[in-house]
Amino acid sequence: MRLFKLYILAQLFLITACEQKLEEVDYKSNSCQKNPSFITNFGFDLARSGFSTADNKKMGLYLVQFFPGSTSPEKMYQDSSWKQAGWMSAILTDNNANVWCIPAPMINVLNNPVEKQNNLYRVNPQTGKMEMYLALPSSATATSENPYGLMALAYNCEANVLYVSSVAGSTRAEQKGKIYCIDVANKKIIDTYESGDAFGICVSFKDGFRKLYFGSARNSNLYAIGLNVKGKFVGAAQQVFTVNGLGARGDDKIKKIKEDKNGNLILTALEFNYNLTAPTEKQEAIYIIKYNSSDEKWELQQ
Amino acid sequence: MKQIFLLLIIIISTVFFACKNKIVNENTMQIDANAASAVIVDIDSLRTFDFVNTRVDAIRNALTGNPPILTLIGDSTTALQKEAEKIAIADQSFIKYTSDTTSKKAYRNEIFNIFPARQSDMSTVKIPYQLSNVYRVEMYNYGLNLTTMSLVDVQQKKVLFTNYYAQTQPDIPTHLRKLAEKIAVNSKEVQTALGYTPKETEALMGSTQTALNKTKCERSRHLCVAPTFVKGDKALWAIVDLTEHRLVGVRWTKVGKTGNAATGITERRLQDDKITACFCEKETALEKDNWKMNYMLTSSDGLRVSEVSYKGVKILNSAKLVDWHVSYSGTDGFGYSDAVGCPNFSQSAVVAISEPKVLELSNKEGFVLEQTYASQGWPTPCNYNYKQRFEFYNDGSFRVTCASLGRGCGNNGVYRPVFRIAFTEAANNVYEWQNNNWNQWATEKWANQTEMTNYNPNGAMLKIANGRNQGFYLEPSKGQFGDGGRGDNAFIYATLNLPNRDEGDADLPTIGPCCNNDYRQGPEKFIESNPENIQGKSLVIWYAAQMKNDDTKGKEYCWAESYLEDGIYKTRNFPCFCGPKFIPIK
Repeated sequence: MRLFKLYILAQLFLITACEQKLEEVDYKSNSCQKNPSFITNFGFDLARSGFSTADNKKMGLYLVQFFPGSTSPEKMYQDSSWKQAGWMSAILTDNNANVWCIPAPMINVLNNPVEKQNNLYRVNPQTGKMEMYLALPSSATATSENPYGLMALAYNCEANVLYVSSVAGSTRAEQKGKIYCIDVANKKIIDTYESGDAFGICVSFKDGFRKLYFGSARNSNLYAIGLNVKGKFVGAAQQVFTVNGLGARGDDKIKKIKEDKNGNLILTALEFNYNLTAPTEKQEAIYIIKYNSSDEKWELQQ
Repeated sequence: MKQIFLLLIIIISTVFFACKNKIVNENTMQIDANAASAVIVDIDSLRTFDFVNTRVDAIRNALTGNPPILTLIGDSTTALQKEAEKIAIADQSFIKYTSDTTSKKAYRNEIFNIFPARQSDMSTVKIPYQLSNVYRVEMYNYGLNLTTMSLVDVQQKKVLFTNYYAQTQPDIPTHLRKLAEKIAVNSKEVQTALGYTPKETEALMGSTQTALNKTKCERSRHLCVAPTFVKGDKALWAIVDLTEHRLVGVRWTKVGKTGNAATGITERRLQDDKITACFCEKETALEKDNWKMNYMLTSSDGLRVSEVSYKGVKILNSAKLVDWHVSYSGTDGFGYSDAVGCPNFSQSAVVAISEPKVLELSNKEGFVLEQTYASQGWPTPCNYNYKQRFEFYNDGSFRVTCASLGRGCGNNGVYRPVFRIAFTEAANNVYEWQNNNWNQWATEKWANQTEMTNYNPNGAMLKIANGRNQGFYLEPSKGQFGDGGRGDNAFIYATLNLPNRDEGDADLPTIGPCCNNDYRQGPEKFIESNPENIQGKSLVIWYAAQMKNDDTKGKEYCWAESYLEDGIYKTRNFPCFCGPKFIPIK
């Protein structure tokens, strides 16, 4: 009987422990990025410059300055250290002007060996030099089935933590994907969410709570998971939207998520099948979704 | 006390893992028996039926019209709908995309729907109108896969508003729904899958906004629908291409207890799932004539044959297509290293779009095992299409070959495919024909086939043979194989094959860069800097051909171009086949 009571007590503990409450936070726009000082030191105009990894003839990260009022590049700069990771994809600047960037193979793995695709890179805001910041753990050995590792970046200004999604080690039959929460100040992974294969990620604020939204690399769904004030994951992810059946293909995956100034989420979706088909083949579709507070649902705007 | 302690440990661990391991895993891809049993209809054999002849005549007749539009077919069309159609066809905005602006050739256009307009259609219309007088006229352009929609006021006799929707298809009209059903029930693949000939009324149809309507032909960009046949707890999806009046393929799905719950089966998904289930996840045994082998699609080395034997004698451990290096001379160092292979979960840049096919050689000299890979946008610029072939001859010869079908990123490209051919013989040697003699290679090395190359009287450049002179002559392409190939200018390498050292036996990641124009195509890394003795050893032959593309009229090579025929785009291709033939030493 004593044992039974203890069991019940423990079950109650289990339920409450799992239902760690979402902690309400004051609304902030989660916009805290600062520009690194080296941009101006290199003679670039901050107002019309940005980092890019998009040119399929230029490997790595580079800085580009556009002609005034134009999207045509006026000049480019690439430090020799900015090519060390091969071809790269997502870029993010944080509140300390760190520039974060992740590798992603393009067409082939010649410059992006599979075993290095789970490495997170940082450009030092003072020196402008890129360094391998953290080799994120992979639960499986790299396979030729899946040439991908890190997929996307997001930053939580209030908690000063960086989120990184990874599909490293996933195979056709098994998802090994995770989202890492990294304490930037201490260079430490403070939480890991076994999300399955997550693609685009974004931090957003809804109904008083901070949440991390992520698209799946396996299907067309958008999920959300709660975050506490320290930026750690709370509870289990819920599906909040899907782009299944939408667009020219109908089975696009959500690669990028951005929040606009009105709190809407801008979803960039494309075809993704864990292969290395050329980016020129990949037609992107953009969807804007708006949160309806009354029925607590995300709805398609366009 | 011990029990309590154990219980506590279990509970604490459960709490930890229950809270941490929330995996969003419900949609992990499962390749099931339904994918494996799917049928992809051969795209090279255009399926035609007698009952489409009347429609084809009507289409060809409409293509000669001015404007070239096939009007709505259907006896339920009212006089006002007909009037709306007439007004639309007379309006320049409605017929804007009915012909190609450059060549003036007609696209295939067809009116699909004429509906009374709804208030929601009118949001952008500022001109005064009375809603009951307005019709929404929808026209589909098969050539551009484009929908034109006009709002027509039959009272004012004018078009109020026109919009164009690229890569969009309107709901199909009743007569096309019936045609799709007819094509499905008359296709032997559907009849075979069901085990009987179904009636047309058994096909649930997707002309309404149901899940069944959501099929797409992403690769062909054709108008496709999916008549679906329910049998027990399964549903057979028959994807029908209404642009070419043919069946694309069939696939079973689970229906479940609450109706058809399957997510959309599309052309690409049907093809990819079938290829993955049957050829990426398992080997297929092939026994034909006197040949025996296994084959499968790899992640990045194309189609691989293994355990190849002729008349019971083992010849090859394996042979495969490791890389395609494509360089463009117009921009220094610009090009791509493409791997070919499985469509999903692979390192392939250009993926398999069909099953491997076993075909007879044209003169009954043997058979060929063929695989096609293509970028989705081919033949538009910067998209690629490759063919890979293994030819097996009745006399024990075999040829390892491939071709580019263009189109790539320019007319100044050089294609360099790299083959790896691993022989079974444990004590092999390589000889090169020089000065009327076979001179043995002592160590790992490479040679370049040039205009100065010496060939033995039978056309061989190299000989791969054991100590008893049993083996094969290697005859590179000089344009003598009758497949349009113009010669390979090949780099040929011989490397040691050691069982305890993997030098490319397993799936190889990209072996070399795009744009080296010399012997450095990748295999040299297994030779340099210390070439090993290859006399009487197990050997691998690597073969990197070089083909320069050409878009000159009449001389096209490694090239493809689109042309309009019957109002839709078709592709004319000019393959550049390459690769060596191995002829048994008699």
